[in-house]
Amino acid sequence: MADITVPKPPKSAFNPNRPASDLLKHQVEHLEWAVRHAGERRAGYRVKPVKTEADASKRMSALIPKLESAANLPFGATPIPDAGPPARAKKAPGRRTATRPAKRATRRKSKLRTKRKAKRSVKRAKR
Amino acid sequence: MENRSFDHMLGSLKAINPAIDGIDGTQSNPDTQGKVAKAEPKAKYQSQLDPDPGHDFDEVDFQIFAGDTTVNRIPTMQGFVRQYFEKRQDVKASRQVMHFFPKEKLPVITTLATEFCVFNRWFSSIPGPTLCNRAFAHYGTSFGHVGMQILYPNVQFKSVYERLQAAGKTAKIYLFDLQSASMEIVNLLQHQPQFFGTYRQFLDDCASGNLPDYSFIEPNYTDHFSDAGEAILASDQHPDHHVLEGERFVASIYNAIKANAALWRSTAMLVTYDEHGGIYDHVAPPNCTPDGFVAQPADTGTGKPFLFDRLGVRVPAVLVSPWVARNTVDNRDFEHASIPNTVTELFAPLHSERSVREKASNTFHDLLTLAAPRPDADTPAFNL
Repeated sequence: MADITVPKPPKSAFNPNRPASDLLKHQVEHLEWAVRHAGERRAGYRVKPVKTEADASKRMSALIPKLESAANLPFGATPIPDAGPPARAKKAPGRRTATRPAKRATRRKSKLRTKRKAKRSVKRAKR
Repeated sequence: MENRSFDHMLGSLKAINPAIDGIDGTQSNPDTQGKVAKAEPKAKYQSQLDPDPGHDFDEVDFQIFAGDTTVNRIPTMQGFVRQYFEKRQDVKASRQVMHFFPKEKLPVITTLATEFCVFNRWFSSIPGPTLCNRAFAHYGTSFGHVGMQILYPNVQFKSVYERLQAAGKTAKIYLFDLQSASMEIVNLLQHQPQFFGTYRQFLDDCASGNLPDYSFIEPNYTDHFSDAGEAILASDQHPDHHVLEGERFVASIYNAIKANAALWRSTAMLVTYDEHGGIYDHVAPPNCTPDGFVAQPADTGTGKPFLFDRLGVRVPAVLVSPWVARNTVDNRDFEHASIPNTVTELFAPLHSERSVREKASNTFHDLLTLAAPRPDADTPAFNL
C-alpha cells in the first residue's frame, strides 16, 4: 500500500490571539476552582476572564502547578509559586558562603524576571 | 477530538461505499428565508465556522427538532441552518453549517475509516456541549449534567482509570502539554497525578513498549508557543482550528503505535469526537435507556427537564487495528459510554458499579475478528 502524505497547514493558520472558545474559558474556570481551598470556594471568588487562546494557555500553565498533585505531575511542574517565601539555606558552620545560595537564587530570579519582561515588551512592540 | 459531525467529516465516503451512511445528495435544511440549503462538499479547513456553531443543550434541541416543542415531536434534523443564523446573523454564512469535506481533503480519517472499521451509528452521549459528553467517556455518565459545569465532588461511579487501577491494570490520560491542559477531568488532575502523561511521553511509551493497558490521548486545544518559542498549532479540530493539524495528530498516533510491531499487534485505536459542534448530520439520534438522572429546566434551557433518554448528534468514530477486517461498517448504536464499558469488560470485568447507561451501551471489542493480524504492507502508512 502506497504511503499517504499528509500536508502541513500553512503558517498563517497559527493565531494565538484568536478569541478563547467557551471550552477554554470553562476549563480555566474549573482549574481556578480546583486550586482553591474549600472555604474560598464557598466564600465566592472572582476569576479574571481569559480573552485569547494565548491568555488561556498561559493561565492554564500557571494554574496546573498549583494543584495539590503538582509535584507528581509529568510536566516538571514547579512547586506552588505563592506558597510563601523560600526556605532559608542552613548556615554551614565556619563557611562564609553558606547564606549565599539563597541570595544568588533571588538575584537569578530577579534577572530572569527582568529578561522575561524585556522579551514581553519586544513581542508587544513587534505586534 | 472536538466538535465535528459524522456527515461533515465522513459523509463523502458514501460515494465510494454505499454501506456507509453518509451524504447522498438528498440532504438539506431550510434557511431563515425558507430557501433550501443543500449539504455540499465545500467544507474548508479554517475560517468557515467562525464563530463556531451553537451546541449548548437548547441549541442542539433546536437543531434536532427544528423548534418543535410538542410532546410527540419527531427529530427531523432540520434546524441546523436556522440555529446557526442566530450566531452569524448572515443567511449565506449560516448555510455553511451544511458543508462537508470531500474525501481527498481528509486523507487520514477517511483512509482509516475505509481501511479498518467505521461506525455508522456512534452518537454523542448528550445533545449538548463538550464537558458533559466527555464525562461519559471517562465515567459512563455525566451525573445529571447537560452543560459545562464542574461535576466531580462526591461522584458515585469511579472513572475508568480508577477501575483499572483497582483491578491491577494500568491506565493513563496523555494530555498534549501544560499549556493545552486536560479537558473535564480536573478532579483527577488535582488528586491522582499517576494517571497523567504528556503527548511526548506517549510517543516514548510507544517506542519503549510501555504503553498502559488503556490510554486516553488528548489533542492540543490551543495555538500557543512552546517553552522553546516554537509555534504549536491546536490539533483538536475545534472550529476555527485548522482541521489538517488534527489529521496530522491522528496520523502521528497511528504511526507511533505501528512503529512498534509488538504494540501494533496488541493494540486497538479508537478515534472519535466529543460532539458534533452544531455542524449538520442527517441521522436522527435515537432514544436510549434513561440514565436515572434528571437535568432540570433551568439547566437544559428548553423549559423542560431532560431524562437522559435520547442520545446526541452522530459523530465520526473509527476503530483501527490489524485484527479488524478492511472496509468494516458497523451498524449498531454506540455512544461514549461504550468506551468505559468496553474497557471495563476487557480489563476489570468484576467492577459492577457502573451507570445504567454504561451497562446498556454496546461494546466494540468483538470487531477484532480476524484470525491473524493483517500484514504491515496491507495497512496504510502516513508521511508527516
